[in-house]
Amino acid sequence: MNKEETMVSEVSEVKEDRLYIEAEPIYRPENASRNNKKGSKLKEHDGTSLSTIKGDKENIVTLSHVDIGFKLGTDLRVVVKDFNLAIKRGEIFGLVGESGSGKTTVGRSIMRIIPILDGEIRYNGHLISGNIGSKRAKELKTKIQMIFQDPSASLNDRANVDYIVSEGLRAFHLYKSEEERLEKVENIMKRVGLRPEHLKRYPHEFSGGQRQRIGIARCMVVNPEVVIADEPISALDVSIRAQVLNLIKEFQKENNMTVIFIAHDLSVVKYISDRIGVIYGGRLVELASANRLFEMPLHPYTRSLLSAVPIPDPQVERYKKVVTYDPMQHHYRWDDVPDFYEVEPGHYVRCNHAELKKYKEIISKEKKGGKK
Amino acid sequence: MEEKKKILEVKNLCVGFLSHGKKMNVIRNISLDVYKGETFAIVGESGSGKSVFTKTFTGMLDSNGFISDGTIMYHGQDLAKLKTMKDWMGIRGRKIATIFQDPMTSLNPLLTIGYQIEEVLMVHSKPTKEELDAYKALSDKEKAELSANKPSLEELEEKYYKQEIKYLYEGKANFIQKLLAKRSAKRRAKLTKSGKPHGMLRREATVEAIKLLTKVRIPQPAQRVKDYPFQYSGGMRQRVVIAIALACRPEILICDEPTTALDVTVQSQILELIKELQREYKWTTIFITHDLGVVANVADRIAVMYGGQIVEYGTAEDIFYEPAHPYTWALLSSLPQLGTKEEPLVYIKGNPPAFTSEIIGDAFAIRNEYAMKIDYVMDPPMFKISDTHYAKTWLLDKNAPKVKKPAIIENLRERMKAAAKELQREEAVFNE
Repeated sequence: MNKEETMVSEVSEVKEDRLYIEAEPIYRPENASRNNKKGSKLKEHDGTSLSTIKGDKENIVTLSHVDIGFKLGTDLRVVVKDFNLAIKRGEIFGLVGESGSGKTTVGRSIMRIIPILDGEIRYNGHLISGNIGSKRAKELKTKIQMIFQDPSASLNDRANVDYIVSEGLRAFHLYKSEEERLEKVENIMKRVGLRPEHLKRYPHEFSGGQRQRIGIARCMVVNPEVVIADEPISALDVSIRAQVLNLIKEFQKENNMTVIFIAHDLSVVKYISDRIGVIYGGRLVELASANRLFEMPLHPYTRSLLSAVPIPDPQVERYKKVVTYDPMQHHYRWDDVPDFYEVEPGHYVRCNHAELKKYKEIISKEKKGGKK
Repeated sequence: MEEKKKILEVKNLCVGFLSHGKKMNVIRNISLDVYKGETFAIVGESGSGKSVFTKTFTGMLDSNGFISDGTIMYHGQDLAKLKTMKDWMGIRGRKIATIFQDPMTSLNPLLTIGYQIEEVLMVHSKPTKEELDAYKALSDKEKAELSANKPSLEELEEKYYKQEIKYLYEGKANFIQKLLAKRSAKRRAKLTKSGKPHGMLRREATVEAIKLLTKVRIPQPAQRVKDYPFQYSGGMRQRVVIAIALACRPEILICDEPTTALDVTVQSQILELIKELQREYKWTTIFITHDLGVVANVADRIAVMYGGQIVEYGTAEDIFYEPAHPYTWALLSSLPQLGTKEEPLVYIKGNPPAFTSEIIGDAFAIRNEYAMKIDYVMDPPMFKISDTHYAKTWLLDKNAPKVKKPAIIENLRERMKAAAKELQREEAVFNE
């Protein structure tokens, strides 16, 4: 009885906090207890800081069996189901999918903006999902930062650039004196290609590309280890897209950061990322290195995404057939349900046994053809 | 080559804006022909004036904008001289319709989808004053003749009744619904039989709206007409906007960045839909976008705009295979599809020109790595490259030094063909 009561109080707390989210994410009581076995008490952590690496050295962020859901009225809609992902240290990971596939939700759940229903998210081996305490959550935010999609909506219109960029520094006390803060902010402004004079201006005085640069500066000034870029270039012109992509890549190389790049356009992701995960209906359907995914896309949804990328050639485009994906085309049976299988080293596909056999044949055929 | 009919002839068009007591020339001397039945694409960065240019065709410039010079000839009528709302009513929507970028802002969130399509149908089917006068002038005998030519009242009633049951209730109506359908069918039959010119009735418009929604492939249209825009996804909303544009069967359809806010998969579906409907209704499309990748899919002819001028125009093949203007080169090479991992992506440095001060010489000179001295002094004329291909750059002058295109867009054709073959081969493997 006691347990249940504490659960109820927890749910109501969440409700008050999250009023601004249109469909409200909730905890499922039975799973909240799994996340947090001692009821409403904090999950004990060993007191070490988040930057010490515990256990797995290769991966920086791991999601295991993560469920994320939203409550719409009385019914619960689980948007992301049984999501497993390990992001390697220092890579750019591209997460691709159509709108509504849950790619942004996954990104936000890592940032703890959206609570998860079930499963675990770990950073450097430390648990960062569920109830971990406000100190830990704050510490986490100095390690993980986000770049948002719409540069005009994500910047405070009433604050000048100086305030916007140094807000992170202020929040986490990352400077000792005013001079140090100014120096840090000016340095980062130069890095993103803006001038220190711009600090006194307001967001509306900048063009779309410049605004996105401010967004990047705000994110990078904290010197995070992981950056979640949530469709940072969808709202930009083609010529400016290239600038922003280059900038993100430069930062990643110099600071040896890990970037999770969320996008819906495979052509962009191919250029920037080392590994790509394709997400459909809240589930990862294919995961491979960027080059391999383009050479040998296996899942029908990946192929349909690839065929939708416009090719800059009028004659090719006119006769191109766009492959459409229908989830019913798989004909999964109850005795052969799909799962996430490794088809070749580092290349995973969601399929059932019959499909797995077919995919493996295709790959072995291709390898033979290459040897000839 | 067969003779093409010009549908829109723009000559020396200049558009200015008044702001803070200053006049800014945003469109500077554009001459252009659009042929019947083709898809004409206008490409450029934001701020190049491409939207302003096409807004002059439907008289939708902002209140501080005005056409300072030039003519837009459409069926012998100069659109640049039209001023009042009344003048425009016959053209806007009926002859030239526009699809805007963001379907959420062009649809009214307070009205149902059905209502918004019906509204268009009812307004534009209203008889004109001349038609009504002509009917009034008829004698009783002539009126009787008019109705005698039509099928009998019972037949019409039967036809309308069947139509309503089929579309509005999807073939299964209950007792009350049947009664309602019968009543409206009776009214419609009477009106049609009398031969008096009349606009569409509400229920007739609803049937028509459902037909249109089926055309743009919205599933279960009979139920979805009652929904509000927020219940539709982004791609579906854009389909509804297309349906509204379709409602008047326009001759020219202006698509102002219709796919910018959409996913790649949805984008390809919408482009396919526009192309398919164009084949059926045989309209002329003017397509505005900043993404050259999209243009390759739809366009027959392409114009590249920069700083309020057209800097290059030609057929799609001309622009993609033999681009001549440095700005076109820059646009093409900044496509992420062409980027390789090893090198940073090419991008155009600087910003498009602000129109606050007079632009001297070539507007693109400041950002152009191939710029010569003359580019800063004199505006280049349009040089003819072939019968269909023109470009506005001093590089094509006799005395200009020969420059090479950037390496990234050399052999574009071969590379893209190879890429396409790769895709086809893969598909073949999977379909075995």
